[in-house]
Amino acid sequence: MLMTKERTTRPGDALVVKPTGALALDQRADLMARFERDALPLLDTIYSGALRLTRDPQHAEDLVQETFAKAFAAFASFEDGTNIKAWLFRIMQNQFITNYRKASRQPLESQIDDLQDWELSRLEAAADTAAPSAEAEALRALPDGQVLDALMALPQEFRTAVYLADAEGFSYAEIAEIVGVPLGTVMSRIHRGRKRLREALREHAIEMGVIAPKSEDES
Amino acid sequence: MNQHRSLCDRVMNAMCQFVDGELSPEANEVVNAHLDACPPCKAHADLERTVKDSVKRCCPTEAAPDRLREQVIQRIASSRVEWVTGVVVTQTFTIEIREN
Repeated sequence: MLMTKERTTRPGDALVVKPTGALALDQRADLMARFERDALPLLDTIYSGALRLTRDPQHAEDLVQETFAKAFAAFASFEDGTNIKAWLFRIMQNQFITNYRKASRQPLESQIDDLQDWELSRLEAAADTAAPSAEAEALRALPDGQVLDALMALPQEFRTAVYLADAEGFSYAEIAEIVGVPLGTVMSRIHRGRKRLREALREHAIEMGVIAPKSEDES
Repeated sequence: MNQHRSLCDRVMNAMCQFVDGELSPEANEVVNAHLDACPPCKAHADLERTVKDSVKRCCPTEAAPDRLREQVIQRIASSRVEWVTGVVVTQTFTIEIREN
C-alpha cells in the first residue's frame, strides 16, 4: 500500500492550502482588534524613532506607514506577551535599511565598526581630558536643541544605539535584536557614540562660554 | 596604589554598562562601593549619567501628525480587505492524497 501525493487545481477538494494570514473571519477581526489595542498606541513612539532614524519628517512618515503595514501583515505570527515595542522597532530598522539600499543602490555597511580600537582611542582621546564635573554641569546647562543637533550629527549606527538605549530605555539585548548585531557591537556603539556626543557638546559649551577651554595646568 | 589604579580602569571601562543597568548585581555592587571611595571615578559616572539623561531630555516622544495616524489605520484596514479576497481566490489549490 503506497501513499502518493498528487497536486491538482480542482477546487473544493481535499485540503485547501491557505495563504499566510488567511484566517477565519472572526480570527481576523480578533487580530485587527489586538493590533489596534497593542500596536497602534505605539504610533507616537515609532514616529519619534523614525524621526531620529531618518532625520527627515517626510521620510519618517513614510517609514512609519511601511512599518505598520509590515507589522500588521506579520502580526499573526507575533507572539502575544513578547515585547511589541522592540518588535516594531526591529521591523522599522529593517525597513529603513531596505529603503536606504534601494535609494543608494548599495548596502548600508558600517565603516564605524571596522575602525580599529587604537584609531578610535586616538580620535576620542580628547574626550577624556576635561574635568568631568565641570563638563557634566555644562551639559546640563546646554539647551535641548543643541543636544539634539549633536545627537543627530552622529553616524547612524551610533545615533541609533544611543537613542534606543537612552531615549527608549531598551536593554543591550533588545538593541542587539532590533539592530541585528552582536551584543558586543551594541556595547561598543553606545560607548563610542556617547563619547563622540560628549566631545561635540563640549565644543558647543566652550563656544557658548559655559565651559572654559581645556587648560594646560590640568593633567 | 597599582591595584587601585587597575580597579579605576576597570570601573571606567564598565561605566556605560553601569549607567545603563547592564551589570550583574555583584559587579554593580563593586562599582558602587568603588564610586563611594573614589571621587574622580564618581565624577566620571555622573558625567556618563548626565550624557544619558541629556539624550533622554532632548528626545521627548513626538506626537505623530493626525494625517499619518489616519493613513496608517486606512492602510491596515485596506490590507484586511485584501486578506478576505485572498482566501477566496486561492481556494483552487488542493493536495490530494490517494491510496493505491
